Amino acid sequence: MSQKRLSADWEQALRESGDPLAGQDFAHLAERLAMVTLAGLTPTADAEKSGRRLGRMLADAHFTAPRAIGQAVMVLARYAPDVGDLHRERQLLLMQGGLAAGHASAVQQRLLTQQEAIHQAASAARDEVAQALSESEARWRRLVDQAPVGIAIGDIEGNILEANASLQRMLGFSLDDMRGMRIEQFTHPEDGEDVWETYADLVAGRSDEYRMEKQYVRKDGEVAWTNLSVSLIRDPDGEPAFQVAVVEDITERHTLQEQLSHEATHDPLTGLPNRVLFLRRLDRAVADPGPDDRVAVLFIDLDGFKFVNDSRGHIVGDRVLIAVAERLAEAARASGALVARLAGDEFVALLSSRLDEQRPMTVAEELLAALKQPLNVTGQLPVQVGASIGVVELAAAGANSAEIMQAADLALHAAKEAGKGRVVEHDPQRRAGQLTKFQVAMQLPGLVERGELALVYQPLVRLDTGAVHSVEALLRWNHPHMGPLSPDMFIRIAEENAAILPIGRWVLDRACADMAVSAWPAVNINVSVRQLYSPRFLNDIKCALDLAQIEPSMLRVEITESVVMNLDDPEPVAVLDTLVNMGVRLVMDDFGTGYSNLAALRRLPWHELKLAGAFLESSRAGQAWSPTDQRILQTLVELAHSIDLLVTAEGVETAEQDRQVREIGCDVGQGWFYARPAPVSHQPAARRILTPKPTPPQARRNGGAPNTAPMPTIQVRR
Amino acid sequence: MTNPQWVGDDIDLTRPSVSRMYDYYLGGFHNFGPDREMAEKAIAGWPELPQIMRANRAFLRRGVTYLIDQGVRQFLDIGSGIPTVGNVHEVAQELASDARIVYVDTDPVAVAHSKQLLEGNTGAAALAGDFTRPADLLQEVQELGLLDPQQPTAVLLNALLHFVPDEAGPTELIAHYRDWSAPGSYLMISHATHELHPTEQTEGFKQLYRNATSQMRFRGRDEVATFFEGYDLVEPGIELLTRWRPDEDASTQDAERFPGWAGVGRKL
Repeated sequence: MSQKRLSADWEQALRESGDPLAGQDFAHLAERLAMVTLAGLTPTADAEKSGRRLGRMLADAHFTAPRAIGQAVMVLARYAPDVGDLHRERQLLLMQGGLAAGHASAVQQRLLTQQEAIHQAASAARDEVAQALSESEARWRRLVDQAPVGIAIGDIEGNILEANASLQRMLGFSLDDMRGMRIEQFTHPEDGEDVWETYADLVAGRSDEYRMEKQYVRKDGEVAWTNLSVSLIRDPDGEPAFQVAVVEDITERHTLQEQLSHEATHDPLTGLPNRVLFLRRLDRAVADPGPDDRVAVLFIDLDGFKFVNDSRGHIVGDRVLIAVAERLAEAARASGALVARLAGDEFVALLSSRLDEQRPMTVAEELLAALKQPLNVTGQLPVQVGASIGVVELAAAGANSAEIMQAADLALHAAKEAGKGRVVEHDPQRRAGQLTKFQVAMQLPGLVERGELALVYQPLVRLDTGAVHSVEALLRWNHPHMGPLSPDMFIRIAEENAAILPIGRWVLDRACADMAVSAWPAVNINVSVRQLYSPRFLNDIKCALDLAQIEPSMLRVEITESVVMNLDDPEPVAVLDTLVNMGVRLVMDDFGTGYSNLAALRRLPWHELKLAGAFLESSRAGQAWSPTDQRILQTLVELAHSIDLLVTAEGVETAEQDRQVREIGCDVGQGWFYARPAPVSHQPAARRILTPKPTPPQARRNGGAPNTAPMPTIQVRR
Repeated sequence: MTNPQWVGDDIDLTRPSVSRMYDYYLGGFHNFGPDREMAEKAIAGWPELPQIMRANRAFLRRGVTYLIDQGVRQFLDIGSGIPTVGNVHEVAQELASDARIVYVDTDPVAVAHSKQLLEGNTGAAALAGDFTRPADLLQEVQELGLLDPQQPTAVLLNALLHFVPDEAGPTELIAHYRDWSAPGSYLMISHATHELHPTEQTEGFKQLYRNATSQMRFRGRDEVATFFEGYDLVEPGIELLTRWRPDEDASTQDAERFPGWAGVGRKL
């Protein structure tokens, strides 16, 4: 048996089952294995011990695969002795036994060591992952806690499990507070029903997320507005498991929005809702009404406010408006009406609930009554303003806002007509025959160009001789649909916008032209205060006179007393002075209707004075003047005469009135008793003396009924 | 330390691990039931597997020895697996005590085990990394500070690339490591091949590995050659595992029984 061959056998076995990276090279190891084998097989050697050593050496060389031990035993088996050498055979068996035992023992040790190592490695790897996870979780927790939005986690039963710092700050509750709370506890009184329906859908798994704007009551009772976004977290089986809420605080934005929205919908002066908000509420009231719902609008316009504004200045005027707004709001509170300021001195009240229990007319009367008490205005004497109110009430179904406002406007107009300080309810019958203020305002531009204006003339008669003293030009609007309209219907509106200027110019030109072709001694025209402020006015007068080739003295300009009273500015006064210097004559109209300030008579070089028709009203009703009235009037006329003013009595309709005005000393009379207004074509072509008729003409019996007022002149009201 | 992104939430020891199966083939006990079960199945279909693994280990030993002879002192062993008995650092450091080795593997258990084993060895370290994420991996290597990128480094991709599918772009990935390494660096590859075996055997093997942590992609000699783009292949070029610079007295007559290509290239 050669050591070389044994060594080669071992090397072959190692190559097949050993690990080439096990430190020693196979040839060297095989040599050592061969040496140990041979030494162990000598007759005196401890073969078993050598076998154990071989086993360990093989195991250490990573010769550990299951088949490896078999290969090793086979290497030894090749060295079985010749038959009969029992001792050597025993040595070989001992060696094989030792090899198996030594190998098994070494392998077992390796197995235990390596298993322990790999388990430790697995455990270390797991620890590392766990560490990384916990770091990652800590990062997430920091991120969640420092997030500027509120974040909360709740279970499906509605218990709050976690809430971050932002949410705690936002709602004022600590984490401990919130952990004991249920989501339902965050109900806000103004949450719509849908808020909790949406929530129920989520926790039931019917939806996976929702977003809404929601308000919360903070722990301190304040309100927090939020953008809320809630997501459902499902378990691996798809069943709802948790809910996560992300809550963004929008309180500031909301407050700003509310403020902006308030500013957009409220009048900055009085703090009342403005036109925008009022119309929105009115629209809402008629948008989706129940079958029995009713709606009422009270259109309130102050009487005489313009006078306050003009005479005491805008600052006082504004304070009056503020005081009026407070009064109205207070008086309307019990009724639940919404009071708004539409514009200037126009207010409006909307009643859209409890109309079964209260009458809008009653509410309107209460508002009027509230204004009866003088208003206390800072730093001023108490101010009194009246108001007129137009009322409309109708079924909300089928109504529309624009029509309601038109109707209320018409009713207000009627209230003003009826003499101010009144409440008038809208009468649908009347509506067809009337134009709204709005419609009039829309049609005013182009009125002159469309040729819808006309003048009629009413003579003024000298009471002593019966001669025509002059004629007054009276304006008519031949409306294409409504027929002739009196100036009352449109002059006030025309004065509010600049439409009065072209109308005034047309009157001037037309009257002068008519004067030129007629035999009248003179013509009276009415002039509005706006015209006096127009820089063109004097030039217009001059041109008209030149064009018509009439003497300036043949033109008489009527200005109402109330206008003159309020003429504080030097410009219009200078204009009137210039007129008089030109030779035009100045007539004070409607004397006695307003403030009857005799001082006004001294301010301008008046030529004539016209007593207001109102003085004759009591007698028109069939009553005689009281001795006192008679005395006052007589004194007035005497006074006028004493400063060389000619006095005209207007609105004389009956023989009795004719007698009365003569009695107090009037010089001139005007009215149906003497002559009705007529177009220029119907006027006498030449001067002639009119004899006062002893009996009223036929027409007077029809038209002179007590309720029928004479066609009014163009009156400039303040 | 920061956790590499590819580490999952948990270590799943119920899935067979390529590195622990490798250990089992070599007769190691650094493995768990699922690893052994699957390794036994593999051996049942391919009885020579343990020998193939040994042939690969032998190539690795010869390769490292060759590289040390060429003066290389830095080794980056990617897909190093379980350091069963003896390893690159043992071979290298025995020949040159100043050799430095960085082991990289995706298997956190293998990495943990390597770390335990390398405790106290200043010239060797292990880290968790993924060959298919070269930027991250090289960043980690950089931070470790053991290897000097200015010095030649041998990048060892032993029995690794057949777990990298074509979609991952192995050539481009290798280029990252090539560009990172200094001139005079080396690339060492061993790769399983189907070329010398019946199709049904390699197919069965691929099927088997489908459930493991990595799947297999056998490649031919020409394909393996393309991985050496930018490198000069040293003699004998791409060869069968046991025929690559065999030990003087070793028999190479049954080399075809161990079907794997091996090669070493020097960076141009």
